[in-house]
Formats: sequence, structure tokens, C-alpha cells
Amino acid sequence: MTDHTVFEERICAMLDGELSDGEAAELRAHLDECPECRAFLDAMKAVYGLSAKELPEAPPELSKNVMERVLAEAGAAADHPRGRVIRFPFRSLAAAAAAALVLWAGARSLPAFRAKSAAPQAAAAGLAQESAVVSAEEAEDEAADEAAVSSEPEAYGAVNGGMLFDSENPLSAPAAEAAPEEGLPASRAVPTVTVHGTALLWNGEPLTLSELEDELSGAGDYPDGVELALEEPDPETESAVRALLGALNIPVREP
Amino acid sequence: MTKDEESALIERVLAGDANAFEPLVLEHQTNVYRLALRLMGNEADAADAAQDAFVKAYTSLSSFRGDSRFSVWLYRLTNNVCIDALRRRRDTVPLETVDSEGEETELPLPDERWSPEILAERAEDIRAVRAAMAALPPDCREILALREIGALSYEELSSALGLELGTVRSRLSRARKRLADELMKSGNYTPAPHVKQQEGGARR
Repeated sequence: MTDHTVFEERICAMLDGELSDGEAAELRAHLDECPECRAFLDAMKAVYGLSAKELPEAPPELSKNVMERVLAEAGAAADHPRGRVIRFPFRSLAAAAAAALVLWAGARSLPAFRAKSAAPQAAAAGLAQESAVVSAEEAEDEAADEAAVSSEPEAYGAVNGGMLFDSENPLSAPAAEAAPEEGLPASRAVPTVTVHGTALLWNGEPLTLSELEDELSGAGDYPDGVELALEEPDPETESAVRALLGALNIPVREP
Repeated sequence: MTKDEESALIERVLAGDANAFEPLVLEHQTNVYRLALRLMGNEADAADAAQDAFVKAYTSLSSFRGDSRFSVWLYRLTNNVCIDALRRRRDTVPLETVDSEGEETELPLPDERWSPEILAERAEDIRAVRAAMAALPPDCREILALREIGALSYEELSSALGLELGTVRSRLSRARKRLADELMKSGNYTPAPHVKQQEGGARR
């Protein structure tokens, strides 16, 4: 039985049109003398394509619902100079980053924030209205209001629910401001984020910004930081990546 | 829609014309929905997943680099959305035993375990097909759906699922064997009136 496995795989590959000529010739010769494999071929023909059979059309409201959400995204983006594509993942980060920075506002002077904040607009707007140290709750609400241009729930969710910073340790935030740009001694291999035009690569693998966010979100996984390789970067994409790294408190090393 | 038309629409969306996304949705919604339906197993979850997949495609369109087919990129994204949704669902609702190592738990069956005639009849029975699909391990369902609904080549499956080409081959073969097994078994609880298990031998 077991030595038929390779022929069983080839039978499937043949039905899929994925068999090389040489393999196909061998398979035909084997089928001529192997009733078991001929039976297998018949069975595979019977179930071939079954996964795609008898499936309904998409529900009529699907495209309408998609376009409503897409246009809402686009409308929110149009109100925001940072642009559409990076907008969606950026906003929740901006809100969280702004909230964390505001939490920590008492310790630092305002100009430093404005110059280096990972989320300059949201943070600056939040801070400008908060001349004194504010309560953490007020600061969060403020930041969320500023960051969430549309009233979609995810920005609030990011602030009130899954805070990107350790909410019990707001002082983890300062490193986000201090670390970027500095460049650390290159002692061992660190993962690389490449910004190539508007495209992102993680150790050479293309991915989206939100996938990168997922990748980097394992807390404390990148104490040595990540390398940021810039290949004719789209400025918005680059700043979104820098904001992400800053917000996640991950040091940036420039090659 | 030709590849050029598709590329032109993608360019327009990236340039800020969100309405240019609609023809792309209309073009691909059936397959995206069907893929989601196979993976999620029910219409409501499939509709949600398909919607999320399209919105995610829109928000991350700039990462589509045009070196694969747009549809392949989209199906891969759909697959990921569904896997996330299934994971969340599993966190809340305990599923029936899902064994991802199908080959190890597969029962040794006699050589003539599949009757092409019975398989062919069961394949016409939507309930039997649905039950058999639902009984497949997730990795089998996933690769079958991507291959047969999404029409991904082995090469594309390999990169979409992060598998060696050899693994694509063996997993597809295992998935179809498993499907045939389940379809044969499905007679035990959804007997079509004119096909009874005992008569299987006599029919051949």
C-alpha cells in the first residue's frame, strides 16, 4: 500500500494538470499494471472538484456592504493628510501612542513631544489642549477623539481595550521617543523591515502594515530593535512604519 | 476582466479613487464568498469573512505588488481572515474534535474502500457533500478550497500556504482521499434511498 503513495499523489497531480511529462509517462505505465491505482484514479475522479461544486453565489448585499465600508475608509482618509492606505492600521496606533504619551506628559517638556512623537498630529492635538498634567482617563478620551476622525469603534477599542502599551507601566513609553534615529551598535543579527516604495517586507517577505504590526506585537521580542532598510521609500509608508516601531517601543537601526 | 483592466483599476484605487474598487469586488466576490463558505462552513460567517477580506484588501492594497495574480493575493488574504475568524470561534465555541494530523488517525480500511459508483452518487447529494466537507481537517479543507475554488496552481498554493511543493502534492492527495473516505462513510447516516451499504458489492 505505502509504495503506492507516490502514485496516488501523481494521480491527483495529473487531474490537477500539474504533472511533468516524465512523471505522467511513468504513471501511465504503472496504471497499466496496477488495478489498485486504477481504482484510486476512479475514486479521485469522482471527488475531483467537489469542493467547488454546488456552492451558492455571493449574497447580493455583499458588494454593497463592502463598498460602504470602503467608502467610509476613503472618506476618513480624505480628511486626514496621512493618506488612505496606511490610515486604517495607523489610526489605532496613533490613538494608543498619543494616549500613552499623554499619560506620561508630566515628565517631559511639550516641544520634545511635538518634534519626535510617533503620532505627531494626534499627540500634539491632545497635548495642546492639555496644558497641565491630566488624568489618565481624560487623556485617553482626548487622544481617541482626536485620532478617530470617523467614529469607527476600532480606534476606541485600541485605546480603551487592547492598549498597545503596558497600561500599568506607562513609563515604557519614553523609549519609543528616545530610541528611533539613534542607531545602535550592530552586534548581532536583527530582523529587517524594508520599505520599498509603498511596499513592506519583513525579512524579505512582503506583508501589509497590519501584518507587520501583528508580527512585531509580541511584547519584548525585539530588544535589539529591528533594522529599517529604506529603498526609495514612500514617505507616508516610511513614517507609518516608524510610528509603528515607535509605538511598539522597538528600537530602529539604520543599516 | 483582463489583467490589464484589473491593474488599471488597482492603480486608480491606489491613486485615491475608492469607487474603482467596486468592479474588483464584483469580479471576485463569488469566489471569495465560496472560499469563505468552504472554510467557515456556514453562510453568515462566510458573508462576514468575505466582507472583512475585501475591506482588508482595500486597506492593504498598496502591499499588492503585482508579481502574483490579484485573485491569488485576494484568496490568500481571505484564507487568513477565515483562519483568524475560526480561531476566534474556537476560542468561544468548542468545536467537534478537529484532528489536524489526519493521516495518523485514518483507519486502515480494506483496499476496495471506495466505490466509484457510490462516490459519484454521494457527490450529487448536497447534504452528503456538505457533511463530508465539514468532517475534513482544516488543512485539507483549506488546500482543497484554494485549489478547486480559487484555481491556484501548485506553485501558488506553495507560496500562499508556505508549503514545499512536495507537501502541496501530498496534502492535496491526502485531502481528496479523506474526502472520499468521508463521502463513503456519509452513507451511514444519510442513506440515499436507492443506495444501501450492503448492496455496494452487488452493484459492481
